[in-house]
Amino acid sequence: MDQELLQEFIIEAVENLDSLDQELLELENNPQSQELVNSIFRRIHTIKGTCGFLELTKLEALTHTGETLLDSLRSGRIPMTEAIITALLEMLDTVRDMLEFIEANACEREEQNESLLADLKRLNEEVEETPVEKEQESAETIEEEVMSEEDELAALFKEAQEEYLKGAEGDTNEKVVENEPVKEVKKVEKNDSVKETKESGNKLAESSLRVDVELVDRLMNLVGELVLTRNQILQFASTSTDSAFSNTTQQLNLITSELQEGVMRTRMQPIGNVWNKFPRIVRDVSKACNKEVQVIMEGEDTELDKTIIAAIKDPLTHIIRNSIDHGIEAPDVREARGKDRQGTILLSAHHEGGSVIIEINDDGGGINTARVRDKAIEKGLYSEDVIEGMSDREIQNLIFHAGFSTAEKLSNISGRGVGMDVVRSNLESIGGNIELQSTEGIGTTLKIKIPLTLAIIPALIVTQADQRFAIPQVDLVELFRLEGNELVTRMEDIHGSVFIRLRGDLLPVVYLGHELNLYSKVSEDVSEDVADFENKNITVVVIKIENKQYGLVIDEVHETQEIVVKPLGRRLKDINLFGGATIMGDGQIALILDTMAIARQANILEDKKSISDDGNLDDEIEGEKTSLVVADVGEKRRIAVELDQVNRLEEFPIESVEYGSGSKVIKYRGGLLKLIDLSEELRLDSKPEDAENPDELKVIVLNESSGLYGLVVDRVVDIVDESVTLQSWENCSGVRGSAVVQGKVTDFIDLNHFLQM
Amino acid sequence: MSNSEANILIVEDDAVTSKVLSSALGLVGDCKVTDNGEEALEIAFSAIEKNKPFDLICLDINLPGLSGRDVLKTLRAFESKKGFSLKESSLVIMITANTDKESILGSFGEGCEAYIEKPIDIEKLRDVLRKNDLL
Repeated sequence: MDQELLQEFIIEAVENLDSLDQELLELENNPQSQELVNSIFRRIHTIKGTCGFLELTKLEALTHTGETLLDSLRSGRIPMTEAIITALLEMLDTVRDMLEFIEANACEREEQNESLLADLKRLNEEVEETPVEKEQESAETIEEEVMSEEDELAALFKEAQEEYLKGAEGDTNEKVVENEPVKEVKKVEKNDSVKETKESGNKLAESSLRVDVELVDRLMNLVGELVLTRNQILQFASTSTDSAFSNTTQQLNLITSELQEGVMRTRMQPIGNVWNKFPRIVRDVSKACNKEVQVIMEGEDTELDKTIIAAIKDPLTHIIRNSIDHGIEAPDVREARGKDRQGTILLSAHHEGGSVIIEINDDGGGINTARVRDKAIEKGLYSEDVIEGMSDREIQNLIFHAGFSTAEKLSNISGRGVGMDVVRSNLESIGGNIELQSTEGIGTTLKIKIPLTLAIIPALIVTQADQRFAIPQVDLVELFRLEGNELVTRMEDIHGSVFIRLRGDLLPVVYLGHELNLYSKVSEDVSEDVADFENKNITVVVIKIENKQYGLVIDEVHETQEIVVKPLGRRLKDINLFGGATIMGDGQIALILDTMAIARQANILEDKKSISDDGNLDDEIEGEKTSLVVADVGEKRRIAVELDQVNRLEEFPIESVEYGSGSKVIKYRGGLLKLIDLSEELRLDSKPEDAENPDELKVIVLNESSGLYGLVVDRVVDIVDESVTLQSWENCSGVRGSAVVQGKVTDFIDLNHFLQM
Repeated sequence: MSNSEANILIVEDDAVTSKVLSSALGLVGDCKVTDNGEEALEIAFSAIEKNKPFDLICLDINLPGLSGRDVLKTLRAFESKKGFSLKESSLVIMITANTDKESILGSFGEGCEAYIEKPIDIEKLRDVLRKNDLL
């Protein structure tokens, strides 16, 4: 079998199936529409014919049966019923399944869906007993119309003849009318619209063409490169005095921008492409829940990048299912509450700035705040005290919390407990966000904001230790700078984490330098020596993630630029602090910060450290405190061991180190102390520049069941009481995990690892 | 419908193929032959008007003037205007040397029932006829 042809057929058939889904649902609401039946018939006919050609016999047999049934509908031999629609929809699903199987295996599945086949056949035959009666009935009622519309009919046929036929004389019109009055009348209604749609359909087909997505992607990439080159030339031109060159550059600038826009537009698809699946889903889900629901769509031609369209499909589907399952009440309940029995889900989309806003509104029961609160307490998501202090809106938004589900019984439609949190994280992964507003008894609105495209985004360029980084504009809230005394008055050290007071809120602070191990003089000094603030200043970028904010301390802020997002190479993919890379005007690379991942690494996502209105975090920090000995190893590494394990802190002259059985030992209290040199073990060779006394060996003497061991560090910093949440790393030998202690990432030493060596 | 006299229209501008088809299909029914699309439509429409639509139409795609696919499109549009059921519509087999995806899928999209590539494999033709109760 010709694989290419088969692929093409599958693509086309799936498109047809999508349209069929919609048309069948429309037909259900509008069973008299001959036009719809015709269109559905033609699509099935096409699929059947091609299957025959491709020797897909099972598929051919199934679609053939469907075609026969549709033919009977078309000729009015049998009336439209809900059972028929359901069977036809089931057929579409089966065809889709079969196509998927064929796509994956390049051959047909062995088994045929016999029961469906039988159903379709039965539906076609069953009604054969009644059609006469039916036809007569309709004939009677419509007879008058037939007479009055005969002229119109004649005119139409004349037109048809003129159009298609040269010289053929027909007196068949009247005959046809006499023979099958019902059908003819239907056709009169239809003829005009059929012609219209056909014409517009043709135009569309002629003015559009199918293009391989890969090709468009490649074009997009090339345009990206072009934009980068343009930026480089622009930068170069700004230093040039040659006016002719400047002019040409401007020209290039304009053309590139237009080209970029054009290519981006080719990737745009109307959001209706996703939405048109929803009427079917709503139909099925509402049937399953015994509810009556209608969908209304607004702005379905709002366009979005193809990749984003694909990414929002599942989240939206989930939201819709949720709305029907949890939101919209049962018809009787609705009636009792004075609402229409039929619930309404309103989907709307529109552009706003560089984003698309999608709203999903239902007129259901809304979110029961009290129930959410009880559930959150019961599930131990928050303590009662914390929840008491939350606004209704905050409580409602708890439904986005992982593992939250208030459904009293689990249904297979929604409520598996992996619902809204997945929706939110999916949307966030494409740079979107979601907000919820709900009024109990009235309904719920979910507002989703997503970027138009992912390929070229506006971003703020910042530097840290002379390296440039890009922060996507969508994550930014504001920028500010703290100078001199403000560093004392506005910064708070609460249980080892640094916060900044910002308009009455406490903003957790993350030092980009610490997270990336890229220290520069400015930020290092601030964090190292909290008391010495004279002549210092810090620049803070306020970043919004989920419903929290944090301040990212960086060295310098530069300009905002449109950057072309390049994926990171495979080797760098594992460093999840970066969302990608971009090439700057001067040809250098800037990494794009993944603000979410940075927050995660800095451990500020823990709810206990979320901003609270009164700035008092004491109630929220409850975990047990551990006493830690904190020390520096090498220039950038901070380590901690639990005080319980520590016997003493000692200093030895370097000369006293001796070697016994291949490792460093020191004579100590009448025995030998085995030394573990952390800077060697962790492969850090640089000593801190300001090590006070290089001739002295700083040793943390540890008390282990097998004896005493000495941990050689470069500087013992402090002993602190801290409640820590360890974040553990894989493949990081010698370290149990890391946590933020006194605002710095600190590795917790796994002593056993070194003892076994 | 099987056996007896089927109405067949062969639209083919290549004399040899035309001959092969008419002799093969002569066993099935009464064959009319034309070598261009315009005439084909005329014949087909007048047959429909006389209430004796063709049971089978073999259509070449590459014809002088109207192409086979144009003929197919126009014919189907006319039939649809007439409200023909599946049985009343003509069975259309595209018989062509075109083997590209576009021709094949396009023709099915326009409503043909079968697609046979040249040179004609009589067995394939037979299969199609059998499937459609013409043999």
